Amino acid sequence: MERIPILKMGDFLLVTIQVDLYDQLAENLESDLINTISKHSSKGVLIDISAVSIIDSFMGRILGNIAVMSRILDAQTVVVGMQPAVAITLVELGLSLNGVISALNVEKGMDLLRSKMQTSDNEEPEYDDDNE
Amino acid sequence: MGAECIISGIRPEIAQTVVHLGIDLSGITTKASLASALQTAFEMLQLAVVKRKKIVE
Repeated sequence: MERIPILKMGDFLLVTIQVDLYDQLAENLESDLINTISKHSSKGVLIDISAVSIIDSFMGRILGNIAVMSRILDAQTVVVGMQPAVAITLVELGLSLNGVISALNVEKGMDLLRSKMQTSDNEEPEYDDDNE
Repeated sequence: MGAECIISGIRPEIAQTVVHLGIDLSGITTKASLASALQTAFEMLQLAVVKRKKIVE
């Protein structure tokens, strides 16, 4: 069965969708991705949809679902490389994709994920060494 | 009642089910593991676990 590869890059997962998605493939991707996040306890997911030229309401919903599920498993989702036509379609379909953060390209998406990681690291308290 | 709730250790199947059932967990902090949940709880309470320094005589 055809599958979309999920690459592990440190704390992040990289998914590049190079083929047009059909429903079964998208559903498999959803469950594969969630299982992989859980397996590696990943902190972020980067989905590259630059090669996706057509998106329907089902695909939009899957993307939203992936983002919400990742959030539950403590991982941020960034969608990168969305084509203008796809963005127009998503808005016209009324899918606001809440919880999905977008970036223009993979590079910017990676920077975004890293900065998100850093801000969560900074929330940790700083230890005052009064004993010294 | 003024208590914060953190859920940890949600299995991937459960996460999928939660989303498919349309349950909104956005208001609840969810963490991947008990360790990270405990860490978050400590941060909320501004507590830190530090190694005690050896007393040099």
